[in-house]
Amino acid sequence: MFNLKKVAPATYVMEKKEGMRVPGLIIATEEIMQEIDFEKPLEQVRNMAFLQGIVGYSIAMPDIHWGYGFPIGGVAAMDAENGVISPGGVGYDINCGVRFAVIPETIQSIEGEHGDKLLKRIFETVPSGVGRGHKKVRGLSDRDYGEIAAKGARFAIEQGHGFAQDLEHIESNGVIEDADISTISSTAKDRGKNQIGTIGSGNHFVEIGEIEQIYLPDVASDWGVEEGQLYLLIHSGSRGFGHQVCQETLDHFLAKGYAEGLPDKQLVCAPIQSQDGQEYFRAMATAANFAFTNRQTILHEVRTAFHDVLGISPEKVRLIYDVCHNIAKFETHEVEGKKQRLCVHRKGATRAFGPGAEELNPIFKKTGQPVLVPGDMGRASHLMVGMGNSLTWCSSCHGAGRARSRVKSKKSWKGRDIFDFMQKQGVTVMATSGRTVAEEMPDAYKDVDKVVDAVEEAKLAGKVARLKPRLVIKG
Amino acid sequence: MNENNKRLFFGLSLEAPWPTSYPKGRIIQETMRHITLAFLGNFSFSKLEKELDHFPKPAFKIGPVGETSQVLFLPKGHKPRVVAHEISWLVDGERIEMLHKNVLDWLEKLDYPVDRRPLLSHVTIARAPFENKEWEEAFEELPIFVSGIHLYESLGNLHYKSIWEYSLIPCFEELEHTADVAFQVCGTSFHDLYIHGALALSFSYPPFLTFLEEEKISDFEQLVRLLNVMITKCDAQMGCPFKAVSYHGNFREDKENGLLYWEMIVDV
Repeated sequence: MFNLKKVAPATYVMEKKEGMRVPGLIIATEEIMQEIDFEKPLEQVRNMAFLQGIVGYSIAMPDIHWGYGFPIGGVAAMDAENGVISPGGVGYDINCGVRFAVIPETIQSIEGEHGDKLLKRIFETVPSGVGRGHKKVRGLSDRDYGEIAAKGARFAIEQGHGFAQDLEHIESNGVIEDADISTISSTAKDRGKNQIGTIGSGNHFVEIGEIEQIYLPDVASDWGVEEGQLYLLIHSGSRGFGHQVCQETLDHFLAKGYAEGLPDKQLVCAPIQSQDGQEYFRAMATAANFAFTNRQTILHEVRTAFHDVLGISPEKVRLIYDVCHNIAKFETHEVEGKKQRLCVHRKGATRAFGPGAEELNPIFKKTGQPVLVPGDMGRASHLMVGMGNSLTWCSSCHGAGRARSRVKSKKSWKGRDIFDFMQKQGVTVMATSGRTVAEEMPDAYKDVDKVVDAVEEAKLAGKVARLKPRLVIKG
Repeated sequence: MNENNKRLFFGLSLEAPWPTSYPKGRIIQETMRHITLAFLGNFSFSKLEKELDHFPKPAFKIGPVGETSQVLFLPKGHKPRVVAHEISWLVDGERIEMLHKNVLDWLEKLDYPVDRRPLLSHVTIARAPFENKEWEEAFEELPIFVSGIHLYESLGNLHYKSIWEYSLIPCFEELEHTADVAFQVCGTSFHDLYIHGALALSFSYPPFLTFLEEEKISDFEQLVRLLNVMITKCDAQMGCPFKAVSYHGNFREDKENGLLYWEMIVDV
């Protein structure tokens, strides 16, 4: 049992014990902590604190659950000179992230046959699930890969898949610097060659729904988000390409003995400034740029579907923001009163810069950046605004977090018509695999409303709007 | 016929990710699918029951694993009555043949009639009427493992009831895991764990098993690495629902029984 001490609303400190270089910081309410097994992921919060160069706290978000090395919902910042970089702190799905757009139409426009047609069209043009590569798009060439590494989302836009202004609405403008295609193996390229523009399986999705409630009208107004409007959420990442980068790095780091002395092999890491650390960062950045390209291409296909089915022009499907939630990034933060360059690992956590942050475009510099929190496909998702909380290195949660295992979820829905059940909840679902849908049913997740309430209480991000899903595509 | 007699046979019960639908035919329920080891016919169970303590022990503790390799129409000829899937064993095929021989020898000693034809490892899926072509088209290779050795009573109308069982340790069991999927994989060597781990994953996604390779595995890290090589190849060729097998997971050795247990956690 971990002894947690409440230090602020929805904020607890885990005492520094032997081996830990910093204390733990847990963002959660008592209710959330009691609802699910918190002990196992807390062990991982403790383990993160062992890593060389970690500063501040080893941090857990309220959607925390067990992950590989780092928990999902874990944040750790390392000194950029003396710290380490850990593939387990980024995750297998490098730059898995979420993209949010609004459409100036009401729910009536997608009711009945129109909604069915739209969903079917997106299902056909945005491959989801296992084994559904993009047939329409030729496999990526070495030249394409080079450009994806260098340009990220801009590569897709140059192919006609989006608008130049989209870039200002993507974290880091859709490209992580220092990506280098020469760090990528032919195996990774093979895995990714037909995966641009695809969702994948597991918890990835395309979701269309209605903006149900606005909490911060001024911020919503600045962003052009209105109650009753349609919204679009896309959740995907770097697919097999990113998984391979992570896997190869783990194998390499383990072979080099970097796991020695760590409480968990999956935490294996290399000094950031070492050749191995630098190479991983460049490979990770390349995979991150692959993911930006992927989400940009998916958005393009959805925009095309809106145009072809409902006659809504592509530019009206307006991108509000795209966030990464599996990434390591170099950022400058204030540590003990001094500016310090840090490598911030966010694994299942979202950057949540507040007003005034340098990187943001003028709109978001005024308000703080959008923070996208998908919930489950039945109840809700949330749009939030970053508050720039320095305790968490300006980070927030990334979703609801699982409350129930996939096995349990499948068992509890066995023999029931899950598609019909969802339809009765007002949500039409299409998926390649009924099994995936059974694993992803709403009751498999924590209540996202409680998660975002904790985040708001802890002053990491504020609630801007509650989103109600209506049409969902799963892998 | 003696009223106490039952229509008896020894068989191996099977687990597989069976499809939920099949072509036309009288389908045998999943829980009743088996490999017939020795057919006895109508005999007194109470008489045989007294001998079951001396049933020949198999040379394996863990249920053997394999895959369905082709569809069979039996008996071969113009009017087959049965649709079956032939099974190719990945581990312990020879030991199953040995068990078959030992069971026949034991039954012969007990004066039961025995059929000495070589064992054709197959599982009957359906009985006539059926269309061969439809079944050929619907066939897919499936992973399979033996879950137990049974004495069955045939109740007629495609119903079989287990009236005695010799338990085997399952090669894997799915575990609860909040975020991803996890299995307890059991084997006598790292090589076994590799095959059983691959089998566990192929229960979720049968094509995965086609990427299994003959490998010599000397340690745990190599085991994980090779399973990840399978994932990589599968993803590149046809897509794969698994991201990676983790280096995490408890690993323990049961020295008394010569068994290795591994908690295999898989990112999905």
